[in-house]
Amino acid sequence: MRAAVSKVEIESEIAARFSTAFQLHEKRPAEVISTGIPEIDLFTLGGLPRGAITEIFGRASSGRTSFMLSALADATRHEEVCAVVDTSNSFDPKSAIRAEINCERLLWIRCANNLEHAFKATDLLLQGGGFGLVLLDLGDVPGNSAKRIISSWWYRFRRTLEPTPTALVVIAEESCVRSCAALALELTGETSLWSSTNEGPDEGFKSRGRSPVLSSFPTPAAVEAHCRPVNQSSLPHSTLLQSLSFQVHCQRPLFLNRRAGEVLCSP
Amino acid sequence: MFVCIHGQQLPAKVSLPDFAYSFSPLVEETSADTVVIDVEGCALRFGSAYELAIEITKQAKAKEPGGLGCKVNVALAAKPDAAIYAARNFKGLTFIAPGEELNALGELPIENLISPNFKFQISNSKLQGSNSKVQSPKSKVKDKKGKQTLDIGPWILDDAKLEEIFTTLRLWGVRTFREFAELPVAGVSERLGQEGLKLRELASGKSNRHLKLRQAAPEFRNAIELEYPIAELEPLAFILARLLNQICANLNAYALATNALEVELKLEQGATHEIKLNLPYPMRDHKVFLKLLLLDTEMRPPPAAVVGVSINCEPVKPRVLQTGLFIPLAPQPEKLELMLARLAKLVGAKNIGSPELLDTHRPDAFRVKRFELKEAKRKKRSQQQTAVSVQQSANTNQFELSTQHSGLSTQQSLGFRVFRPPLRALVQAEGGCPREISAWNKNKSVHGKVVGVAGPWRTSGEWWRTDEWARDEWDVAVQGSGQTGGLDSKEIGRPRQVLYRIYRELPHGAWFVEGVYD
Repeated sequence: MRAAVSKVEIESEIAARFSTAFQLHEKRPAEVISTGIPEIDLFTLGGLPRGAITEIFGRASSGRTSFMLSALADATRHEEVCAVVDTSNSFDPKSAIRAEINCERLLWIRCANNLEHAFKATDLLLQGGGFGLVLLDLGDVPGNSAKRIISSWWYRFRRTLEPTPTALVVIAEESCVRSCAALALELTGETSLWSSTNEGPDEGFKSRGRSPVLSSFPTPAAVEAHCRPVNQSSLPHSTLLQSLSFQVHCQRPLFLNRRAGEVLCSP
Repeated sequence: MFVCIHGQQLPAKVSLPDFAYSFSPLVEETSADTVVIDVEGCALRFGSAYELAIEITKQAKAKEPGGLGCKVNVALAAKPDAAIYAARNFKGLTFIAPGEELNALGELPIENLISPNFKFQISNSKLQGSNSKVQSPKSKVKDKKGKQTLDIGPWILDDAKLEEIFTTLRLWGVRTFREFAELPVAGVSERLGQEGLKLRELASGKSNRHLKLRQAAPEFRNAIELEYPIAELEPLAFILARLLNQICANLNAYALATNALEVELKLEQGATHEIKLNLPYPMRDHKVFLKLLLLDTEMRPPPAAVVGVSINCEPVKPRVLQTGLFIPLAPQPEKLELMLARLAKLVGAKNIGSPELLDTHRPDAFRVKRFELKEAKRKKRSQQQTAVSVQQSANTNQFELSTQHSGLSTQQSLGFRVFRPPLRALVQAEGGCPREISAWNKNKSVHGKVVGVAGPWRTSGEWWRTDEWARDEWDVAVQGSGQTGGLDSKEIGRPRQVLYRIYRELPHGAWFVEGVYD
């Protein structure tokens, strides 16, 4: 403690003479790839850095997958070749199509909850080269397991990526890439906007705004009366949940000291 | 020098080209009764060209195997067309010294220029790589307009044009090769066109060209029988490398590539093990083929030792790709194939590819198809510049605009994470509506109070199949649940909601968690 105080005192005294000596010098990305979300692009100096690791972490329903889909859609729209390393087989092709991802340019690798396979597959993708965006989805891997991933993998990825134009994005529940990430964004789910269908069973199902709470529950007879097969209706299922918004907090790089931005996602 | 052999009444059993090939491999099969030999390189065996012509005449008369058993006309000239005219019009052995073509052929009637056999010869001289195809000497071809034409020389000349030229020549009083050859070039060009010029060149005996040699049909197949069985991958790799190297060298020599490679391994018990490589792009890199074959063999090893290897490939034209400054980088085809093969070995071939939705309403119905990279579409430069300028403006104005994004300006597509397989859940429902949910498996757990709900949404379909589905779907907000663990210290004191999609199977009433909105 005493040493720390002394260091601060010394720095404060000579900072005026050697101001640049105490500034953090972090490598700024030369090229970026857009996330497809203008707010986050502006927030992160243009998007995801190429030739570096970007970490997106947050709890479930925090918007990580929406972020991922948006980045993939934008990259494939610009004819980039993308890959998703799906550790827990949780990628939803229907959501991908809805997000306007060009699946012809998307390589999907399912690893069936095998973390080692996921990392080896990512390594093969990065070594192969030519991909614009590689997503390593650890979103369903428990935080404790993710934190136990040995650092050498991340160093290896960072070293492999450096001379390439590939952006590696790691989706996780908790931060696990540590200092190897050139950009780390924490997502936090904020609000969800609900709506039931017009043909819904009861008005009690409808709730809008933050923290929707049911006011009353319908009877089974009401449920049966109002249900009908989806194939006979033009209304898609996803209209039940109208939107989800999330906050973005930048954890790294340190020079990018930004406040949180808010993004709205809708089905 | 060129030797032309012309036999008018050849016995049915003998083959004039085979006879010619016994003297030199450089033989043009001009027609069924005419061949032309390039005597270059025959000096060591037969002496001078004249001696060769005499030897040909002698051999042709001989009846024993190797001879024709009949008389043939043989002509020796410095120009192949002059040799052909001489062999067709003069009996016995004719020698035309270089520069004396017109003296030798000058008295031939002008009609011999387009004798049916000769017409065929000229047409053949223009055909590239199709010498083995035999046409009728009097064959006529139809042009695009369906007009009957005669294929002579470098031009397609129709009957009317040819008749017009020879009518004109008759009107001019031109009767022989010499008279035609002595006409001024400029005048012939003005009056008869390029076709007339070509005919004049033929008449003067100065027409020169390369012989159209028959090439053996290329074979892209290689096989080897082993002296001892191979049970390990490494020695097999050496065998495969050797065979592939030869095949790829052949492909390279013919400027071809392949996108389908078939390997047949003969096994000890007499069975065979087949490996088929279907590539999205034509390639001819033997190293890539070898690695792909080895990866496939590692994944599906043959059940017994290998005693023979046979490789066959389908030759196709190589891929021609025009790159551009504004086209994003893509994996190289060879590297991509290798990488996909390695990934297939790692996670299984069925687990890699491009997702594709099936044409059904069944939930989570998709298939994974083979990842084939198509060429990126070329964009207009203006569009690219617009994109670049937008990005540049984003970079430059970031600091000013970053303070303004408190509002919700754009809407993104909402993501969904699927639980495969779905989590079996215990749901407490009131009046059919979920109030509390609890589900778990080895990796995930969902439990808590349902604080928000929308639904139900009934889906059903494919009742005619055994695996029909019918279910009620709900979107629920579950509070206080952890998908994979407890609450974070930062979130203590703050209610945490997770949005799930749950469903109840209608026939059984069992509840499942299908996935989470994220």
